[in-house]
Amino acid sequence: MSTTRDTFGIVLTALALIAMMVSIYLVFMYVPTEVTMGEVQKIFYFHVPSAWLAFFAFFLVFVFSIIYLIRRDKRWDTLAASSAEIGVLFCTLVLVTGPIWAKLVWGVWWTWDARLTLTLVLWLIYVAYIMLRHYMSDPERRATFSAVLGIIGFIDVPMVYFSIRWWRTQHPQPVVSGGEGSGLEGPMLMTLMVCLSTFTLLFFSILRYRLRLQALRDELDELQDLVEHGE
Amino acid sequence: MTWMFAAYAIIWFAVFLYLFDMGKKQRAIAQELEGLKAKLARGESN
Repeated sequence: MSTTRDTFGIVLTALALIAMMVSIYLVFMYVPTEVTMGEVQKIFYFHVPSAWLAFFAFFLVFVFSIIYLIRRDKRWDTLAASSAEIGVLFCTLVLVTGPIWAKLVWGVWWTWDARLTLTLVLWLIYVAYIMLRHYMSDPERRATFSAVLGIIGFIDVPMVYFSIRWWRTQHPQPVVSGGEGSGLEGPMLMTLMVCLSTFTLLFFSILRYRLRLQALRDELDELQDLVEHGE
Repeated sequence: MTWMFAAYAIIWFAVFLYLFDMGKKQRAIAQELEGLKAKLARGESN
């Protein structure tokens, strides 16, 4: 089943690539340069979507983990594990692009400010989630333990999001829906929305590949079992 | 500008590295799967 050509996956990837080219054009050619920070502010157009995608992926882990614990159906566990892996990828991108931006604007790569520290904690939680899955061999126990971690770990996501409102931090205040004085100029907002859509397309494209890989792995495990035990 | 390019390059490098790694794993599993299927077919015919 899984070895056949995945037309929908190919179309999705092609769309993500086209959208990515449009995003790059908008970021480098179309959108005006921000007055205070200059060119480096353009990191924002990929830094923010990466953060949103990481949050979205961890939200999916949370939802799929709850469904798994209720239904005990392996498919939900697979979906949660795949989302966690992609979430870690995007969270890593946030933790890499953030310090590059910080170094040029704040003069330091890193500061133990609430937003930054909680984001690092978030990354560590889901790296632990992946490690837990890697080291537990019993599939039932692995799925249950990781579902519990996926649910508890999600608590950090709203904390990361609201940290800049709850505490005084060095991290900038929200630029969209951040209250009085916040907001983006039309072209900047449009570019951000295009980049957000592009990253969302990319997320689903990667998720599809990841699920396909898991389906192949499961098929292989079943066949190996059949060859070894003849059942 | 250099740092901005570095940030963008890191993003694309990481995403494509992840996709490439998945593709490699998928090919390896598919190959192993074919081998096992052939092994099973031979076992059944004997």
